[in-house]
Formats: sequence, structure tokens, C-alpha cells
Amino acid sequence: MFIYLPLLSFLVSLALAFFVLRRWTQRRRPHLLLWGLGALFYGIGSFTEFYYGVFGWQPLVFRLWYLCGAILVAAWLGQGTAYLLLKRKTAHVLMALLLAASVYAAWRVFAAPLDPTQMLADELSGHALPSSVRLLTPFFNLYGTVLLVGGAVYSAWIFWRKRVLLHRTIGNVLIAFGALMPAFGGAFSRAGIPYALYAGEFIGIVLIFLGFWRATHPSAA
Amino acid sequence: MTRSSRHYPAFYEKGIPVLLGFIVLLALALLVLAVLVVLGLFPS
Repeated sequence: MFIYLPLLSFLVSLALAFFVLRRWTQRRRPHLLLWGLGALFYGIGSFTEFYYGVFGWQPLVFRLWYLCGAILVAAWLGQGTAYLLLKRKTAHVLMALLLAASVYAAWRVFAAPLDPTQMLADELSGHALPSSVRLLTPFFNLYGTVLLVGGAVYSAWIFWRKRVLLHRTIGNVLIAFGALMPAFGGAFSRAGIPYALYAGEFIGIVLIFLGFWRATHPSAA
Repeated sequence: MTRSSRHYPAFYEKGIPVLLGFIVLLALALLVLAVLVVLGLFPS
């Protein structure tokens, strides 16, 4: 049953990407484009988890999973927050660095030898990759989580202090919680709890979706 | 920054700071975990 959790995560992340990118086409704000791309990376990551659970090992699927799902998703979502909250010039510099780092990570992931015997039974794990490649992941995730969670907490705090825009306060709290869930899922997964990562990803994308929806729909407040 | 004279509903007045504090604590725990992973003290 747990192998179908990533399919649900995939569907929710596609819905999130659709709503965010539709908003981007209307407003042309760069943070919406980055969040939309981040949601698409989330979708690719969760779909590859589902694919692996149903159809088994496939090197390209694994590499896509690790690149999009484990390395890029949090960082690109966080980069969206950088465009929302930081000065445009600062965000551009960070974007250039992230782009260069992402290209480097893609090269490392696609050039690395794989050892599928290190994989758990029907759950993807990074152990098929050399540790030198896996060591990249915390840096991307730290960057993304600090920006995404920090930005959401900061925004919620500002709205709360001013007692304005309750829907955005609630939305940002949900987004902050949601952004932490995959990281905790990953930590529990490393500690040996089966499917913790998939559960964390599912709860995370649902909370982020609800948060985005709440923050952009004041009439529901 | 001065506080507005407006108020949120009571649940959100008290609940939001508690939730935000909880989130910050969780994030700090993750930060420590990430450092442990980089140092090789927790499985990556």
C-alpha cells in the first residue's frame, strides 16, 4: 500500500504546479515560476518513487529521482522564496549560484556508477550512489529549507505582528510545516523506519498545497 | 514595529506564535541532523 503514497504525492504536486504556474502566467512574478518548477521537481521525484515501487529498478529513473527529488526540489522551492523576500539583485546572484550548483549536481548524479544491490526492497534510497555524490544533498536541502521554512515563518510572523491578512498567516504556517516534513521523513528513513520518507513527502506536499491555497484565497478566511 | 490595535480570533492570537516557535525548534533539530550527516555521525 505504501508504494502508492508517492503516486498521491505526484498528483498533489502536479496540482500545486498547475495552480502556481497558472498564477505565474497571470502575474509574471519570478517567485511563482521558481515555486512552480520546484513543484514539478517534487512531482518528478514522487513519480519515480512510484515507478520504482511498481516496475522495479531502472537506472535513468533512479538518477532522475535522486537529482529532482533528493537534491533539487527543496533548493528550487527555497529560491522562489528568495525572489519573494530578498532584494532582486541578491536573488539573481543566488539564482546563478544555484543554477551552477544544479548543473554540477546533475553531472555528478548522471556520471556516477550505481549499485542497485544497496537499495531497500521496494523503496528508493540514495545508497545506490557513492557517498561522494550523496554528500551534495545536505547542502542543497539546507539552502532550500532555510529559505523556504525561514521565509514562511518570517512572513507569518510579520503578518501576525501586524494582525493583518490572517489567510496568509495560516498559509505560511502550513507551508513551513509542510516544507519540514520531507526532511523529517528522510531522517526517520535513514534511522531505519520503512516508508518514512514517502509518508513525509506526502504529508509535506499536502500541507504546502493547502498553505498555498489558503494564502491565495482570502475569501476563505 | 508597533502592534496594530486589530486582533485575530483568539485561537490564532495565541496559537500562531506557539506554532511558529515549534516550527523553528523542528528546523533547528534538522539543522543539527544535517551537520551530523555532513560530519559522518549519522547515516546519509
